[in-house]
Amino acid sequence: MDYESFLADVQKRGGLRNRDESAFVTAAVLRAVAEVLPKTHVEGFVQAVPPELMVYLRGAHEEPDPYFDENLFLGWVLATVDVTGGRDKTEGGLDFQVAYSQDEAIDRCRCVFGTLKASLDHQQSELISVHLPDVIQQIYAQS
Amino acid sequence: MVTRLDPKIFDSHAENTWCPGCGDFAILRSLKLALSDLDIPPHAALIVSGIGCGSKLPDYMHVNGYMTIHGRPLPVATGAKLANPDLHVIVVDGDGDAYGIGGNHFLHSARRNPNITHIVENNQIYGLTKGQYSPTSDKGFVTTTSPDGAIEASLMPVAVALAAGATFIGRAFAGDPKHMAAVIAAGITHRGYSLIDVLQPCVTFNRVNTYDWYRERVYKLEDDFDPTDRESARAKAYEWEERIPLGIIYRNDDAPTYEDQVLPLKAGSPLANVLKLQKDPAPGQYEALKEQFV
Repeated sequence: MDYESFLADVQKRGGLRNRDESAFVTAAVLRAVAEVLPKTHVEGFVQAVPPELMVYLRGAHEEPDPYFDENLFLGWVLATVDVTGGRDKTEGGLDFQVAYSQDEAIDRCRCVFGTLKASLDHQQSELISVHLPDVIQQIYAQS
Repeated sequence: MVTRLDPKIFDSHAENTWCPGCGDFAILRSLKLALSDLDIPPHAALIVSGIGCGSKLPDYMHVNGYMTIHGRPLPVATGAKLANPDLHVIVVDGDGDAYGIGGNHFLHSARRNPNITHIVENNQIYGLTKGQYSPTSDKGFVTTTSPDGAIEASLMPVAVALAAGATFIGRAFAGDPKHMAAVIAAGITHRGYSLIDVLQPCVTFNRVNTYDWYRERVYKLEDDFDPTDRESARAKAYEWEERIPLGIIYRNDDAPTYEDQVLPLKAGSPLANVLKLQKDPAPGQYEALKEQFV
């Protein structure tokens, strides 16, 4: 899958408004993945992941922090929610961002994970899955 | 058999109201890890906080906790330490609480050198009140209270602490909880005031200083860096923007603590003395104890 097809697939899965939003979301999720994926595994994805996106995975560490949990993972994803316009599902409350940001972040993870899994073979997909924090692993499995 | 204290012992039943993805989660986790690594049980620790998102932390830990008014956790913590020097006293508050409203206490705690640990959750913004610029917001930072960008240059807490006489200064990043736990543990074991400035993204209100922003800039101090060298520490204290150092930036393990120099404490812990009196009172003992402090 090339870069534009990847973004188009993420956009379709996530119901995102445009290509730019899709690019933001994809970058955010892959940067979070790079935080938990050991660097030694990254080059194994070069055939499946477009070079424009390998840039993010190559930010991986030699030894990922073992205490990097689901909250930190979602923190990376959430950094783009406001920039790209999170969906306001509130009924007048002031804290819509706080109340719904987790749902939004999980939705964004799902659409990128879905496209990523479609690009990878089973072994590669498992390799990513085992390094994800527990809660994120479940989201990945359901994507 | 040697067993390590399980960090889960510090879990509380309070519902957590931090935003998903908040850097405070990593700070909470790292603090639990540090206490368990140091084998400090819940009853031997006191966490004092101020007001702010991060100051809710005592609710989320099964330890002694005290939420004070805005900006005042340091004097309260100093008082607690004087009353019971055997307690591990840890202050946790945000950059607004510590460097803004409590800025005066920050300066004087640094020069006073009480044996307390001060963890500042520095997200460069006021989060609980919905996103106003804080003392550590970078110049030009646009918020609801700085619509044309922050006019002031940002406060450099590490440099200020060094100038004020702090005897331990560390910096950590919420994106590296393992490293943060080690820095916090080093701060707790240090005898004297230890400042640990934790760079922590506010995922809801600060869209500039994100995990990604910090990741591009932070680096861990080299193995050959000597934190006991004040001049080296001073150079690191001013590094910001392009490169931001993490780790133990300065330490002076030879300075006496404030408690070391409070004469009535030579007679032992006031709290322990009171408990002893309650257990085995003798005529005149209460009056003698009072006279030491009044």
